[in-house]
Amino acid sequence: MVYAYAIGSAGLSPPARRGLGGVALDVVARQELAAVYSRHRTLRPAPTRANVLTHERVVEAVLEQGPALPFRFATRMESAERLAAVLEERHDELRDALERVRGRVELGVRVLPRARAEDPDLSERSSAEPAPDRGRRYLLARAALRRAADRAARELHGPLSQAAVASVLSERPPAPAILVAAYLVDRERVEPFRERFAELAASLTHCDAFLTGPLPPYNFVDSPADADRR
Amino acid sequence: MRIDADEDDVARGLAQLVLTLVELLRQLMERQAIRRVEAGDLDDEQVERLGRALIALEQQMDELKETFDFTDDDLNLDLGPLGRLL
Repeated sequence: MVYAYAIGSAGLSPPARRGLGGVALDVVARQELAAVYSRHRTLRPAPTRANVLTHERVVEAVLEQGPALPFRFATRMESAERLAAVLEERHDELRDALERVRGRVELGVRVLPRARAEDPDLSERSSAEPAPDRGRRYLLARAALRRAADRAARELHGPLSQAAVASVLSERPPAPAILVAAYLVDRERVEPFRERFAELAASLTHCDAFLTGPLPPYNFVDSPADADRR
Repeated sequence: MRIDADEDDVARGLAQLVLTLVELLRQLMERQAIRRVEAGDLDDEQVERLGRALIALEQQMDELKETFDFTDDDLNLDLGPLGRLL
């Protein structure tokens, strides 16, 4: 089987680094597209920090050569021929997607509530006698978090999405985050975007916002592997 | 397309689907509860009962996720052009 890392333009060279399991990388190309993969007898990669970093570094190495469409972590296919078939079957769509991210990177924003709303559920699990109004407090805390998320979306995400080529707002940010969003930004607009973020983040009074990236545009590509799951 | 599934994968996939639907219902109930609390539709006792029911449901979901080793991201469905379920 093969493990797939990313799709780039034809002419892509295998990055000079090792893939998962220390295996050498290879490239399969079809028309205007190429994909980087490693070949394995069997592989069920656990989402450990080391494995995810290996995947990420290969994607970044592809990105150094030009635009890249990263595969989701743990994308495997039965053979390099199957991977080549995906490039052929979805050629035009993937080529257009590649053009869309050319010269662009992803920046991520994560917002945390400044004073965490009380969580009677967590705080009282160990107490012998739960507070008589824990149900009410739980609901009020949830309502407060929802309002904080709505406000962060208005005051931070709204203006930032105006400064980006495209944006994605997570419908269900993992706790304790109240907002998680990704922005596709032209490489040369990264600094102005950072400045805009810093300005908006400084004016937030109810939460703290953090910016990460630049990253490969994970949130702005449909995983090419989905073709294989249909 | 070749389907490469063993019994464990099928059982896990079914558990994932069921838990995804339960999680969807839980979230809808929570949103509805918040709306009703904020609209002042409920008296104190009703708010308390609803809150406790949601706490219990969340705890049970946490336990099930741990049992099946699912993350929040696992309990979602990609609906293609319609986006993600949750």
